[in-house]
Amino acid sequence: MHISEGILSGPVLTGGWALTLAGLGIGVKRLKEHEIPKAAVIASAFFVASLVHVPVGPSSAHMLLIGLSGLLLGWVCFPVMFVALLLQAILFQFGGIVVLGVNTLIMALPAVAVSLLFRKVISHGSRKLATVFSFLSGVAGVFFSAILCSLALLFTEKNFLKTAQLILAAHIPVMILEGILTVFVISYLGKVKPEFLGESGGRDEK
Amino acid sequence: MKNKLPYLLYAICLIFVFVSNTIAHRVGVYAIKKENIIEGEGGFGKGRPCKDCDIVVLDQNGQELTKGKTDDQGFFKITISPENAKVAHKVIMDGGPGHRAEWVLEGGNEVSPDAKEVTESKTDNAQKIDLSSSNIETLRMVVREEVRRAIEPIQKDLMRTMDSGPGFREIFGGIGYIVGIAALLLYLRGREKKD
Repeated sequence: MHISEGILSGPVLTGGWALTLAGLGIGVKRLKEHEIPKAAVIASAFFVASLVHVPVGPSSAHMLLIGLSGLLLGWVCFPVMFVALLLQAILFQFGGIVVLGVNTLIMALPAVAVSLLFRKVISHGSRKLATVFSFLSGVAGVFFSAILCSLALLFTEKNFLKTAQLILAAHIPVMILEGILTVFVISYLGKVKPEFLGESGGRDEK
Repeated sequence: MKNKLPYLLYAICLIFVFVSNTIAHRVGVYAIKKENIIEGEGGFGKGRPCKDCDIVVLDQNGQELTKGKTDDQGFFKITISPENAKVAHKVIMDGGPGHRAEWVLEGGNEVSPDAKEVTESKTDNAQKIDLSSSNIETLRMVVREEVRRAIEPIQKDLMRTMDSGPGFREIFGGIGYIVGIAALLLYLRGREKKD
């Protein structure tokens, strides 16, 4: 899902940075002191997850942990993913510094969407409901991200539907894997540390 | 039970690190020029070829010269017109939506009299050369061809080295940065509270 350097046009890059900076503002404000270690662990996981390739499908797709990060962190995903993507750009040459704004937006905004859509159901619903929606969170995170990615490429690739189809097709195995992983991690956390889901930054109370 | 959670999460991280050591993701294209043939390889790092990807060759002014495609091993071979052989080239590979890589080839400073002639003489004539004829131009061609053949494996090795994905140093370095940033944040917030 990383867009390479030198593809996007100026306005798209600037727009990406503007929205990402806004997201960063909200995220940093909501990051409470006791959540910093949790955020760091998820940042590390997100940072290395991009190295795990899913060797199915036509192109090169890797794990993203968008849904899981969203459920656990909400808006805090913006600073967390920004840092992880910055390090990926510098150390792994994934993406790049100029496109960092767009890339952060492509991955963090879907995470926020997932947290707003599904977190309440998962933390308050029955166990069955929580399982179903955890899986959906994993799938939806990657799905939204693929759509955003296609939108960002709209001005260079022209054919939106075809681009979206290509990206989505490449990420179907990732969606399924992310769904399963999210179910396992969330159900484990639900048993061991239920407050992990409920209290993080996505809610309005500060 | 509560205290085990961080261990579990770090265990997941570690699994990722070990799994990841065999695979990586970075779009890259590498090319070498032999007279008027551009040969190269494109991939996503560590032996994952970019199959059937579009290759575009530009001249030094950014004008498109010719196009090609990689095969299912990620290799490509593109012939450019001889009059364009000596300028600098830029090879651009399109690795699917949002994935693009480029490689710049320096302009040739070889004293090739006629690129076409060189290509023809490449293989067959090489053995037949009569040294006593002291045809310096031909001799030069032969030497050039031999040197090229000798350094080809080295060039390919070089490509492969550049193609290697992130290693442990990068991975643990990155995790170290994240831990460091978190510690710094905790420190700063803690100090704010005290004040």
